[in-house]
Amino acid sequence: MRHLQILIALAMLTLSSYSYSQCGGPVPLLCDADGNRDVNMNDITAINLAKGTPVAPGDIRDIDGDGTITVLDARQCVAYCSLPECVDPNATCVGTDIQPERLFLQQLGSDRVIIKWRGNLGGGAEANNVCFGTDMAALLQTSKTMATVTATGHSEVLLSNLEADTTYYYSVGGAGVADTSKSFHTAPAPGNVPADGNTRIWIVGDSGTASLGSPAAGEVRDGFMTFVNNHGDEPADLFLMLGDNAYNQGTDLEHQWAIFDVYPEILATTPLWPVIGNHEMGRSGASISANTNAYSILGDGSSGGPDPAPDSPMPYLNIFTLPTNGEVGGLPSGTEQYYSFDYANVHIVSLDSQVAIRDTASRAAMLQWLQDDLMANSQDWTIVIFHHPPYTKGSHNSDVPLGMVDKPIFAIREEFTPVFEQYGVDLAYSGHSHIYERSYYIKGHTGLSATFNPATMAELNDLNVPASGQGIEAYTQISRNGTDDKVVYTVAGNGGQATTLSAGFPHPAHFFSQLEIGSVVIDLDANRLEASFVDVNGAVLDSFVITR
Amino acid sequence: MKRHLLPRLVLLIAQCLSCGGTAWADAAVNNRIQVLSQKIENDPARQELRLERSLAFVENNQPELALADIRAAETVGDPVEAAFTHGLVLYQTGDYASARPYFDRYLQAYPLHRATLEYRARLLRDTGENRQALADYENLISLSNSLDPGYYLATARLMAGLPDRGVAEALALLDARMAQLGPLISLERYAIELERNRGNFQGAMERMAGLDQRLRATPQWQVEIAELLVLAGKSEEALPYLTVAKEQLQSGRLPVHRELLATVHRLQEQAQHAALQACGSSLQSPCPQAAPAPVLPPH
Repeated sequence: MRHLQILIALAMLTLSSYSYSQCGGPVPLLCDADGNRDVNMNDITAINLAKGTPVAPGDIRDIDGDGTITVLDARQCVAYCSLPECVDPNATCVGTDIQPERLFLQQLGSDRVIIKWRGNLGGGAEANNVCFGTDMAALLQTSKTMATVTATGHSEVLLSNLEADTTYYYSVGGAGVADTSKSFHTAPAPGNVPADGNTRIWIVGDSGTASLGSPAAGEVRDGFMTFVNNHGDEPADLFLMLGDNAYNQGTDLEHQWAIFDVYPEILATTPLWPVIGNHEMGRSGASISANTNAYSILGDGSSGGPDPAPDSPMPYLNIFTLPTNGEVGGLPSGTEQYYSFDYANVHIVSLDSQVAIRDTASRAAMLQWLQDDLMANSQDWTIVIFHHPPYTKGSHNSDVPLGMVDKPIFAIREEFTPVFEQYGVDLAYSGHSHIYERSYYIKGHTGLSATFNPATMAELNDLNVPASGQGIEAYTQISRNGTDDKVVYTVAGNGGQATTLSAGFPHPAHFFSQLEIGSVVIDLDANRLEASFVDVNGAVLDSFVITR
Repeated sequence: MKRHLLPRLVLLIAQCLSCGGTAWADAAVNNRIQVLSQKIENDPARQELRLERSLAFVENNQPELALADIRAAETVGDPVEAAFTHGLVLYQTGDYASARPYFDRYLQAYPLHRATLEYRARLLRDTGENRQALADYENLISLSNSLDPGYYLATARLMAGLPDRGVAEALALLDARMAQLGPLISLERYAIELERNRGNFQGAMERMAGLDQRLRATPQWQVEIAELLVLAGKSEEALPYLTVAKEQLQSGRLPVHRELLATVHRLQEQAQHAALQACGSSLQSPCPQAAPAPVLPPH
């Protein structure tokens, strides 16, 4: 009988607070002691005050139906609170922290972040919530946020209304405590420099070789960590990936091996912003598998085994949650394939040189969006990232139109670099070619390498030769001609391998080229930007400065 | 026996290309060809490996080797399974006419295969078979709600060009997509272009007024509004916008600012000339004063 009463009471509870009985009056809401159509702390207090009171069957305060209001009723009613103030504001979360097999941060801005994860390395159930806060010793119940689960089994929570430039700690699984290994620092308000005075950006390209069994990406990561240790212990604020993040097909499993297993500590604390490479999105931008729900034609082959998740085209887009609607600044792009965002005083644009660029209409749409996005941009610095390099003589040769109809390298150089230069882009980073190559501060080079004319295309030093960007030859954002019309183009496709050179190496537009694995670190404030090529030992092999 | 020799031959060619610095060779693609060749040698009956390598050959500007792989793939497995890749190889070489039947064949077997529909739609569009291209694009849009704006742009362009579909339907498609996702500048720009081209300058200006506030704050927006006003025969109303744009552009250091400034000067001359003409032809009333400067949208 008691069970029946509870069932009836619970059934009533599931009715909306706006439900009405057939007689026309509102259905009484279980635990709603004051009858105001919601359950909050006032109701819990009222039930507590009525402890020991015998009641008739069906009393909304007697949730366990034992005929008497007890402390147990009050405790159970807490679970049915419809307002947050129901929870003791000082109560900490009581869940259990789990270690997901993949855990990463997306779309971090000055007031928001997305925490995304999948799996549980502990072998138990996956977590479905997160607790977070600024006090790692006390993550409050009031912060508990339930995850939504995607079709590919990823859980994600959007944390919003955060304080700018602030460190938060979080627990996946809703534990009441956390440590620095699960924390993030929100961006400063757009346009502002961080409180510590510096924004640090870490960039790796073509780093996905761990899925092929190579240790190189881990070595590059360790080189960056050594650099961090030697340069003020300041971790990266942003982590950018230049495509080919997971070889060879970009399956879900390859993403696990090449990204989530290589950078777990960094991904749990630093937002990741990727671009699409040619190994992420099938051949010629399309899966050639006959199965419309499959991605990889080979299935096993270099992938090593079946994917653990449904693999609808394309895993890259299933795994990452990228802005489409200007959520973190920038103009809405309407697609995760390309997007832009602001962090502090820098605007970053991620272009799709693999899929959208191959079709005339999609390319036109992306180019139009880029022009308007850059026109609307008012940040101090602007960086563009994409996969296919306009200038390279590494494992790819930018003088060779790979393929005959689709020519991403040529399209980037001929159609996009003029826009970068017209609209004030400062730096452009690409991968694809497994080498580090860094250009002079240049403009107007849309032809083959033989057409590069340093006298008209490069910023010159006092001796009328192309300036290096180093020492007294540091670049200024406004060129000597009084216009902000030049860009430094860097190929950093050496995050997982450094393979071969092409005929004609080095490219004449490049000041520095080296066939060595490594990554790029950018440090910038309001007036100065320094970009460094860091090797596996943490040594800086090339750097340049732009001031404004 | 011969089947086992072919991969070795291809591997040898690929190795020579990678070490010889041949103009068309690309080391990364050569490496992929080598890996695939090794796999084919170990498992010559595996059709998908040959399909994969054929696309690598195309990327390496070696269409003959690509087609040889396709033909081999068609003998070791079901030719229908190779049809999309066969079409793709031919498409990539620019042989659209030969590619088409393979896409058709694959779509007969797999009517919902998105990649094949995509490539056939592009092929049909690029060969002027616009009505059939539009059918494929509309099919694609019905199959997926996550297509990038380019698909909608392509579809709207095709609609606008067909007399029985027309601009109104194209605009409706663009607006429907923007109703789903919010304003998208790439689609709204095309909608503005369509309005402008059909002489609906008021409609174009209304769309301009609905653009993102950050865009409305730019000198480019002022210039574009002014240009629409001039086209609409409201030159006098255009002048204040041009004045604002000029002020904004004075401190601009980007090349695009200089281009815009040149446009401002051109439009100013055009607008002033038109305003004077209108004034001279008016016998009934004195020449009107210039309209006050428009209020800039807040930054």
